[in-house]
Amino acid sequence: MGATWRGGRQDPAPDEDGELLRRIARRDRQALAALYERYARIVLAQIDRMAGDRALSEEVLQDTMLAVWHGAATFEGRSRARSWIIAIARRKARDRLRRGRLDTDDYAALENTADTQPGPESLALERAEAAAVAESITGLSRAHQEVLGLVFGAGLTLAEAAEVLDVPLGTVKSRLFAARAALARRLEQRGATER
Amino acid sequence: MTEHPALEELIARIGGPAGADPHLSACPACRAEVHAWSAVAAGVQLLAAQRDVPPPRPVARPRWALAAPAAAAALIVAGVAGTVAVSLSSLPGPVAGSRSAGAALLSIRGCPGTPSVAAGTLTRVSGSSLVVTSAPAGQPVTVTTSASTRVIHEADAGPGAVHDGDRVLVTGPRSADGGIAARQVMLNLPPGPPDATGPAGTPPPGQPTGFAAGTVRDAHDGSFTVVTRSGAAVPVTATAGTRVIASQTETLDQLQAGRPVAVVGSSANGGLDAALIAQSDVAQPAWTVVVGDDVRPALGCDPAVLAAAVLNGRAG
Repeated sequence: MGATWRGGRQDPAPDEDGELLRRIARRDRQALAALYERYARIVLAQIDRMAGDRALSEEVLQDTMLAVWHGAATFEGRSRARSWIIAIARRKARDRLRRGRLDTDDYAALENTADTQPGPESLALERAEAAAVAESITGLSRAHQEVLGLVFGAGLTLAEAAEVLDVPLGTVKSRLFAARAALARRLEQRGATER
Repeated sequence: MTEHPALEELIARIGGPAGADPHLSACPACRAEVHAWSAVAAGVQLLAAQRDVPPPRPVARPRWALAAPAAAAALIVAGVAGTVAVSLSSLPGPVAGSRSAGAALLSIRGCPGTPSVAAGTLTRVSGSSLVVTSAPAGQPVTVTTSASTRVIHEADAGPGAVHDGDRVLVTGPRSADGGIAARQVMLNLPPGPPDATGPAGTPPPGQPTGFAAGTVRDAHDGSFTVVTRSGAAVPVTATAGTRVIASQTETLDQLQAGRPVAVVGSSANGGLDAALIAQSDVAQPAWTVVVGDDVRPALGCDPAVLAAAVLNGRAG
């Protein structure tokens, strides 16, 4: 089964994920290992963006895989496996954050700063090295990092990201544009500092 | 020119072959958009690639758990990074009189020193040699002590004994929200940084329960929160059946025959070289024996191996 190309990354075919989950439901540990190999990095990166705590992120990753192990039989295939797994990870992370720390962004406030249209930041981004972009991303708000991670890291569609984040599709779009604008500002500031 | 692509379509064009899209070829603004999103995607993916991914935690039950005598309780080995707790819960059988307590002798797989646990009634004390007898089979286990054997006495401390700042190990069923309805709270964790929380969900009978090791916060009316080293906060609710256990150090000559004991040590010659002996005056104790930094070297077991045993213990 072939892979798909999306958002600059090659993704495994959804059917392969579904088959892995069916095998996991039958208690096939090799399938779980394969799924872990496939998604651990994506999930870890995504949770790291939410939690900002490596140790906590690793705990959430393991919680997530344990939940997949126990819950694979409940996967109905109505969504892609990757968005299902990431949604589990996000719930696990939010549970832990809610119980442990209130170090989360004010998402509602972020919406007010959203820029819904492409802006002049394209130039700054085009000129930037990937390493500089990566470093600047770490300075963005967690909400912005999260939406960027879902779309460009996890490879979710905008609709899937909306479902995972439990927000309207338009909000995902506005967050993406706002995140990009904030990223460009950071890159511009970085460039001004380095000049 | 055709209509400008929607955001989703622009993102889908990232990484696509140049010149393959007629609209992009003719629309500098859309090309710039794709390039800008490409730069964002490259940054996100570079960040992800820079992260080390930890190895997966096995979900299988360990062999030592599967090999346990049917009458023995489930063994939980809990602990990461310095503290190891061994819990034998709900041991069957009475502990008083001539009848012996339930016991188990279960090896923890993968440790060079073959750490094992025996629990039952202390039926004989003879110099440096003890006999622990299990139930229902009445299987005797010979235990050899040494000058380095640590002895602790576990006693019921009462529900009001938990205070903010205490370092505890809590065991009990986990609720859907990740909290624990405490069956037992173990006070006075020995040296070793606590950093552990156990499996979610309420386990079926015979399966390991949830656990949390860390520092108490917001203690009130018996309920409190356990904060692990990593910052995870686990709400703990007390029930009428919650047992709070405090442990204190004793000496070998304070061990008393007839009392329930749990021994953690290394298997040797069909018996056990004891690293830690816990004695309880609680009837039918749900053993929680915490092995700290001071005892672990005597077991000859690498902490990482013990941690792996812990994670294996997250039964699937």
